[in-house]
Amino acid sequence: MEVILSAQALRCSVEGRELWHGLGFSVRSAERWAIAGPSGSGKSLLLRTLAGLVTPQAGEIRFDGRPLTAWRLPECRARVVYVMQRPALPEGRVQAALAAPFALRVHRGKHYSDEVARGYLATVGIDGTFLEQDTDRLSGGEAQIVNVLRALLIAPRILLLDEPTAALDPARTACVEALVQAWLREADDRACLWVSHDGAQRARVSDHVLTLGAAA
Amino acid sequence: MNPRDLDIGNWQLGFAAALIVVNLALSASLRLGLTRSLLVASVRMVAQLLLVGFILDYIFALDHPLPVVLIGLVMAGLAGVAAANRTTRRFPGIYLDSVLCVFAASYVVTGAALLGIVNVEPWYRAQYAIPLLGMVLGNLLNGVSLALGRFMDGVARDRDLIESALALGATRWEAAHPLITASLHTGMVPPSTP
Repeated sequence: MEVILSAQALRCSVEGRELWHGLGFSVRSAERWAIAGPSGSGKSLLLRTLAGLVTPQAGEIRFDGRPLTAWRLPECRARVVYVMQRPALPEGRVQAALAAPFALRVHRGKHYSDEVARGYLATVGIDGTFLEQDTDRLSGGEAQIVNVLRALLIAPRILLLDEPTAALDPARTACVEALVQAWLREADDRACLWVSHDGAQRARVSDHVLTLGAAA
Repeated sequence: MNPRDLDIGNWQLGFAAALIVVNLALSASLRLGLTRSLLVASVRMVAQLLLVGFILDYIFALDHPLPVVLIGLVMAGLAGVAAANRTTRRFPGIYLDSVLCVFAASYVVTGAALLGIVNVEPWYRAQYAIPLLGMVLGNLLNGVSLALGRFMDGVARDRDLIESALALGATRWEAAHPLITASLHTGMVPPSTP
């Protein structure tokens, strides 16, 4: 299978403490990766680096065969989407929050579709009236569903999920997991990296595990 | 002395000082905690005005464009630094950005006023150029520091929102646009409020 995202000889140290060095891996189409490691081992930092939000201190990241440095970053980030642990949603309706990314220049040519959004929601048993709710009235779990769904709708190649279910109850956790699996099944050139503390969850959502801070 | 110039005597100066004393008294009696900074500001103002008076006297007498432009540069530089100083959050290069912005805007606006509106002949007459620049700088100082402060607070407060926009493929301009708009609105409040 084709390699979508690869990292080579990545190094990262924070305040003189080396988190990882010589880190390398390749994520291929249809692969599901989990990232494990203790708190402070740089799991979020790794995802943020892969998304081009943080510049690697050493080493190279390639997406679709091209080094990240050769990409226009918005073009790359439209395809390698990082989903934050804490959802940050604009004020207004859920529907507006989901449609907002389609106004970005990088997504011109794509259109927001209520139908697609409802389709995803239906797979996790949420009905369409959810789209009419105000984002500031949502519970933490509901906000996270919007956060993940917003990323899925722009149809990225790779999803980088940063402990999206850390603060959710089991029912909402199952929703988020099911959404991501539904998105993965839609095309065979997609992949995801999922940071998770929970071994049982890693077993559910991934086939490959990258463990950080194992040597430390 | 030019007969059209105003003569301000010691009594008038004393009256101006009395206004500050009223403020000091209010601050002390209402315990507003402003007494000390008012005192410092008053003393500093007197010293600054004395210094400025001497320098301007000298420059007016020179009647040459170079010192006028130079003192203008110093004024714009001080205003730029002061605008950045008023914000509590900083980024690397904030002073350079602020000084460049204040310098460019003030010179363009003052230049347009001197050459195109007031039509001063010659353009570098210090008694017009320097007070005009001073007024422009005063407004700029307020506008820049308000907009900059609003922007920096917003960047800190909306950090996650901006970052999630970036993560979804927004350019830096797109991600910061709502905040830039809000900051400019804030910066425009003093001149646009009647």
